[in-house]
Amino acid sequence: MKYSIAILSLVAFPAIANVEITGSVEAKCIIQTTKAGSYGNPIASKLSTTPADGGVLPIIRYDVSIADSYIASITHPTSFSSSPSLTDTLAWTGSTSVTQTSVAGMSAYEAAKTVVGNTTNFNLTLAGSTWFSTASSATYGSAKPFPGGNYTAVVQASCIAK
Amino acid sequence: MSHVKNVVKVEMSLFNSREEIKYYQIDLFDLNWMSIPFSTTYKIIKVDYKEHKAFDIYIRKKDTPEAVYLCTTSKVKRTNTSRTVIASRICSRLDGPPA
Repeated sequence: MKYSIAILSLVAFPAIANVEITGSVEAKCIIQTTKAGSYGNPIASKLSTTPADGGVLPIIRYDVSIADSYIASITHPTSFSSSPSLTDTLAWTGSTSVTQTSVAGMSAYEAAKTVVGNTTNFNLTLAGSTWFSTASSATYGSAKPFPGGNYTAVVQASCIAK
Repeated sequence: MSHVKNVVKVEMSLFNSREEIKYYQIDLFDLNWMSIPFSTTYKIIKVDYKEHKAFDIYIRKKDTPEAVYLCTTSKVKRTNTSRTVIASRICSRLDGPPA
């Protein structure tokens, strides 16, 4: 969103003549978590959010009230934010897809998405709601079993004004 | 309004639509996503679910041409289950023409 600029009234505030500019910002994009993801452990050396692997895909909903003003940028994890101590390397894979839309024309988002490294970008050309799912998988080095414990990874979902 | 010479004030409103989130961090970036210095009362603010919170940030006038993205990022909590958590970030642009 652009921010507006207003000139202060010098009559109303004669003592603060140096203060000339103010502005306000209000984003027209809302991100919500529709479903929290969880990792399944189909084999000892793999954690995956894919349902076939016993995981749950996280679902993220974007609501935009202005067409063609925002980019949805979703980054799948490449590290755990918390985990037991790991001594070997991890191989990460991931992807993000459109799973549901409130407007038929949004179905084109999937074909038009761009992927840069671990980040998938969607041009939100229409106003309304779009749901995205992010798959994430980590394989422990040399097929070692993951140590027991809890593993958490962060999906970064951004809504960036154009 | 800023009462400091050569400082620009930006008023912002944040709405928390995520029940599992209580804290948001404020950041300011240039076009290349490099941090721009700014001042605000709290760079991490508490916003309860479904609550609006207004806050102000102050930018040096000389930095305003470079200030492009004003972002709020959710702070995620540590959990005791194996899961993914979603950090959401909303970025508004400051570099457009006056509305």
